[in-house]
Amino acid sequence: MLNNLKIGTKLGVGFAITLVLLVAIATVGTIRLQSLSNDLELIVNDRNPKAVWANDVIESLNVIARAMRNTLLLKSSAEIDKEIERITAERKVIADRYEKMQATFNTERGKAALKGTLEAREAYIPMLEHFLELVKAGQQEQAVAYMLGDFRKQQNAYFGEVRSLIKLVNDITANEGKNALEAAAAARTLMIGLAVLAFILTVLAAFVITRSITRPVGQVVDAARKMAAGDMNFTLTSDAKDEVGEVVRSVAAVQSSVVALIADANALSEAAVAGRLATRADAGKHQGDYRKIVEGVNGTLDAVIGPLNVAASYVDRISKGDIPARITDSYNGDFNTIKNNLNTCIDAVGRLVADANMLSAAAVAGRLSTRADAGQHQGDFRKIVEGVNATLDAVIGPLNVAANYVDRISKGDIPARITDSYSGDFNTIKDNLNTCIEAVNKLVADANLLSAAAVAGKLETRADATQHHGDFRRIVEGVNDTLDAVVSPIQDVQRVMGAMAQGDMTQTITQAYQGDFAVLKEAINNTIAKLSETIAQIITAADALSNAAGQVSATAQSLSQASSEQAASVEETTASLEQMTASVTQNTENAKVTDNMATKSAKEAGEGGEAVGRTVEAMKSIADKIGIIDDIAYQTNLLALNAAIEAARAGEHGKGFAVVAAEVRKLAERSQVAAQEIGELAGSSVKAAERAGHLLDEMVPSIQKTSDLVQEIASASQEQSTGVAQINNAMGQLNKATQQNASASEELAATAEELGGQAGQLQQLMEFFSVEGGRGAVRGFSAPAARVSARPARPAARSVAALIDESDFEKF
Amino acid sequence: MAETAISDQEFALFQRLIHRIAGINLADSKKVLLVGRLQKRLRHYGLDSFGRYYRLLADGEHPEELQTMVDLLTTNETYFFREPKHFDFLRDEVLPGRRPGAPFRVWSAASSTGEEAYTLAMLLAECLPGQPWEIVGSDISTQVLEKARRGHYPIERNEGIPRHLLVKYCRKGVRSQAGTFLIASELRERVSFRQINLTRPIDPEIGRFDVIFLRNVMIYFNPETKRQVVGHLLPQLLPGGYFIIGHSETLNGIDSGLRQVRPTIYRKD
Repeated sequence: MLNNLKIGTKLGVGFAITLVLLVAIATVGTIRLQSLSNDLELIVNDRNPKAVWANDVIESLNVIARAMRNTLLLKSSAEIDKEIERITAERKVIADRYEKMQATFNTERGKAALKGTLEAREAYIPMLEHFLELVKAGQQEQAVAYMLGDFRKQQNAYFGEVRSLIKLVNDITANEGKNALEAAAAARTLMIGLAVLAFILTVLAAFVITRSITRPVGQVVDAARKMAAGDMNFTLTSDAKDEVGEVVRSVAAVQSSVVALIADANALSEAAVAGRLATRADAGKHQGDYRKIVEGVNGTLDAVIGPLNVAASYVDRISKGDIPARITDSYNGDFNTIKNNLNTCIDAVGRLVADANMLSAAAVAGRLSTRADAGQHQGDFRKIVEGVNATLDAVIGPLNVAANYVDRISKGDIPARITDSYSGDFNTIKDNLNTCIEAVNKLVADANLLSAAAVAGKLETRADATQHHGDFRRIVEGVNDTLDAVVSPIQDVQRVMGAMAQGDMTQTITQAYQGDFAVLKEAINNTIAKLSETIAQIITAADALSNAAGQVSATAQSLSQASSEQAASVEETTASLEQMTASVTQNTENAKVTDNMATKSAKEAGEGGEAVGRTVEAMKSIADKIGIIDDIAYQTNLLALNAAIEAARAGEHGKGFAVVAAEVRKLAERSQVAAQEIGELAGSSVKAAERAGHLLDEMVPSIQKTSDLVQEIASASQEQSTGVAQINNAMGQLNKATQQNASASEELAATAEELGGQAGQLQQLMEFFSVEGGRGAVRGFSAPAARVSARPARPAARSVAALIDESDFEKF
Repeated sequence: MAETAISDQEFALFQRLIHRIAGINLADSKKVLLVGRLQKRLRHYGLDSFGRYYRLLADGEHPEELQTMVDLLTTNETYFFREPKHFDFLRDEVLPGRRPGAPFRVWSAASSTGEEAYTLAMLLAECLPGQPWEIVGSDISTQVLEKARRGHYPIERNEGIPRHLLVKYCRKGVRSQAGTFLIASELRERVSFRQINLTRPIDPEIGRFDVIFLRNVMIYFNPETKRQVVGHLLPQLLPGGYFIIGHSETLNGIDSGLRQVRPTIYRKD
């Protein structure tokens, strides 16, 4: 900073600092002295009088005490009065001192201490007056006792208070005196400090200012000495803004001009040596005579270098691949030789370029089989073309392999690793392809793993993303994240659906989801809600159904019971009625027969009478004719006797005849006996017949009557039979209907029971579900165990249905 | 005409007997039914207690009486075109999809007096004219089977038969047969009846069926017997065949392997 100031300014600043410090010392001293003066004044004018006043009080109290004793010792009342006046005078002094003190004590501590003495004084004064009264009354002994007793106690307390007041004033005074001494010491120290500082700063300012002038001047002197000796190798800088700085910079400018000239000269000579003939020094950088020197050197170089530059330019263009047209300008001497050689070179390079273009165009067009004709070139150019051809051959093989691999990878047909050996960059290509194949294979494997797991429902499966790199890793991580996003709702769905499968309809998805998952959640929650509602309704309906079925079953049961009873009794009645019908019919038949027989009997009885009459007649004639048979029998006997005699005469020949004759004889004898018996019987028969004739004549009228009655019975019986048949018919109809009813009501009862069972089953099924809001009471469905025997089926032995005569049927 | 009372023990004997023979589950409330239906048999044999009748049944010397008792204790409630929705289903859903060529066979299991079997016959005769079909009716009661074979019914039973079918397939009785009607012989020839106890394994000789009607039978059985009966019938049902039960019945709780097409109609897959 100092360097930026002129020398005059620097000197001014130094002196100003010294002056300022002097003023500061004077000011501090003055202020401190004034303060000390104030303190002293306070002690002298305030603190000291207060101590004096307090001491005056003590002094007066002591005087009063002595006077009091005196009053007790003295005998003359005049002297005692004198002492009492002394006491009164001292009390005035005390009152005066207190007034002064009350006017000047203004601190809290002071006022408190003063108040203490005043209170002691308040108590003291009445006691003093009491004492004086005792004295005045001449009660010496009481006065002595009082003084040495109560009074002395109070007086001592009073003394104590005043002394502590004095002590306080003394303490304050001592304290203030101490403070004043300390302030004086501090002022002294400060003033000494300021004086030292002023000294140091003044010396420093003198040193710095002097040095800022003498050092640059010395440098300039050194530089001038070196420049005189031709040594430009030094640096001379100054950023000071003062007059010395200007001198330094001017000398430095001289140095740099000379150095630049030397540098340009060196550069040109070095360029020429290095063949950079186009190099020129920049004359503009120099001024005055320096510029003229440089311009002269540049002009000399231009004259020499012209033709050289043309050749150099051509060679340069050729070297840079910018093949120029043939040179057609005319040159002389060596310059012409150069021109011809250049043209030859241009032709050769042109052909080489044409072939290279042809090959590169073919390569660009993908015609990698195109080759240049090396025979058109000579020397190294031929080698170049042959080399390019060979390079193409070497490049295209692996390139085709790589292209093929990349093509297959892009189509998803991941090939096996390349195991052939290649060198250099081809090997790199091979390695990269292999890396690519591996990465794609890993990706495919992980994708397969995940998709297989997803298909198998194992949604917890994740691919290890760290095995992949770059975008492949992002793909795998993306798939993993996608699965994470999918799994939670699926697990929720699984939980809720699992509960539903267990019949628990109270579970819902409460987690918040976005998009399609939210739609899924809503759908599932709604489904469960709807299902729950429906199931609750079904449960209610099933309960009602069960109750109703129970009632239906009970009613059907009693109906079927009643029907069964009715059917049984109707059947019984029908059977009985049928039996009755049969017997009535039988009766009718019998009556009919009886009627016929009676009629016939009546008729035959009449005829019997006549017959009996005729029988009697016949009997009589039989009895007459029996005599004839008897005669015949007698004659036959005789004839047989004769025949026996004749047979005996005939001898041996009449033997058989004799046997016959004997038999005939026996028969004739028996006939005779029978004829006699018949004659007897006929006689008695006639008598009986006559008797019968009489009886019959008597019987006929009553038989006739019986026949008439029997006829009536038969007629009534017929009527009855017809009626009973009709009843029977009706009963049969009734029976059929009743049986039908019984059967139907039986079926109804069974159906009703089945219905009840199914209603119970339904309730039991519905019990599986638990829904919000509880369930209905469910009655169990009992399933009695059935016993089934292994008895073989009974043969169906029944007659084939009787054939029905279809002639008694016709179309409806 | 005095009724013979039955004691609880005697009733329990008959309960077990009828369950063993016919699978019928006779509840305790069916005492009246049993007494009413068997009373006349006691009188027939001049017995004074059901216990003695039971011993008569059990002594093995009266097998025909056992059958009579079964006949009496089975309830044979049926009528023409009962629960007509099943027949509509048969006509509209089953017949159009029947196996081509093969005879269409229907089994009216527990056919009772044959009304169901003849209803089916009328339906098939109408819908499959000139094509082969066959109906088998079966029941445990020989009495009702005999009635079924006759095809002869009181005239008032023809309620429910549509007029055109009545005209076509029934004959009205006149003179000695007045008040009755007869199923036409051409139908009767195509319906055969046989005694089958459904609680016993079925003789496979009966063949397999396109449709089995087992209606209003299982209401008399307990769940275990139901399971057995269904288990016996199913092997005789062709794959794709239909199994039809009564409108008040269900196969719930029976692991039949059948698929419910609609209530009371099941199909074998």
